[in-house]
Amino acid sequence: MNTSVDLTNLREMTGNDAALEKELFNIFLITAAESITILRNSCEPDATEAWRKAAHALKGISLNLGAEGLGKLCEEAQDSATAMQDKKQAMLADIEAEHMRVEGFLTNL
Amino acid sequence: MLIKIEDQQAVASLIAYIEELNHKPTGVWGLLAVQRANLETMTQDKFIIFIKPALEDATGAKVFFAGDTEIYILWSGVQKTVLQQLTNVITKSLLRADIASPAVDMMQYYDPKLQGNEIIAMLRSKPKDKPAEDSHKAAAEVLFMPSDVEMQKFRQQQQLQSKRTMFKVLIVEDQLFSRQLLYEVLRGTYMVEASPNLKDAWKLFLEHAPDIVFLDIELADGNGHTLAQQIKTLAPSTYVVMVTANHGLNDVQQAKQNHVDGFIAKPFSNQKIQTCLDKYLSVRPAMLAKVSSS
Repeated sequence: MNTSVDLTNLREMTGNDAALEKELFNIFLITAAESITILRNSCEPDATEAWRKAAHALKGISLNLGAEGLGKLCEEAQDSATAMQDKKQAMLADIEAEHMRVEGFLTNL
Repeated sequence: MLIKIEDQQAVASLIAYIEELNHKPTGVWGLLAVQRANLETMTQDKFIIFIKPALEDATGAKVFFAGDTEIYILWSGVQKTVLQQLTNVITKSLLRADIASPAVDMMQYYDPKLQGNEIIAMLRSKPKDKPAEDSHKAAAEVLFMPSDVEMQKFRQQQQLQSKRTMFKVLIVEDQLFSRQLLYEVLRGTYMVEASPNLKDAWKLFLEHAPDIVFLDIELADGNGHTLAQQIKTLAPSTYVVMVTANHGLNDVQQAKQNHVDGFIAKPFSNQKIQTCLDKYLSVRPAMLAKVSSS
């Protein structure tokens, strides 16, 4: 069972509207991919603000989707914007792996 | 390695660097001066991210952010290829959308080895860079300065507030996913307007005089607290709810200082939103009475 996403809260908010859910999932996937691209390009120590903002943006939409694990990883990344490059790269790898699980969950619904 | 140099020391640092190049000429260098007025508003980090691929063929590069007026990109290695790539990315991806034809002097290329003294004279003739914080403050003041027409329209809408049978809600949230979710939850029951940034949010606020504002704190063009403060100063009867994924004490304190009425931590939920709306209903008569008596 994939536990990357819990849609209970989101479905309560959308009133189980399948079309709206699909639209929101698409928006999530596009925005998440953009945020991850920014994170990937911001691993150098001088790109702290770009890293922090991208992590913050991805955290917010992950929490609202119900992807708590991805949200937590992004929170950790947001709080570690000034970390060394190797630590940022390790965090990014975790985020990318979790993002893939979330993406897999959403596309297989 | 791309190095970023900012604030009021940027021009002085650039002059020092060019002087050093003039004395110890090593390798090939290029310098591109870019006027910021024609570019989209963006953070320095975002600018760096965009131009980085264009500098792949350079052996080294430094970017000097001189106040809010100019950006200087200095690089070593091949000149023409990098110049072409930089010009392409700036004109294709970074120009302001509302500019049909950019100013001809928007970008100026210099060869530091051939034109070193000329560049230094040009840089020295520039007015002293303003500290970034001051210029941001000035920009914020301009952003929140309503025109007479806007104020007139706002007052007209505000007078109708107490007679509204359907409340007006303004959502200010930069993330489309979260903005759309909140919009869908509220529409039907409320008249909803939504904005991804402070600038448009302020325009919508003046146009509609909403009863309730759901306001994200971290926005692309600034901080939601600034807008909350402006709204509560102009229209204390507006019910302002800060929305955030952060749990920082500073944000809570700032929200209290601005006399905002509620705080929602992401994730949103029907229950959290309903609690806010119920609270608004309970305090609305007192809020409106207070304003009409003053």
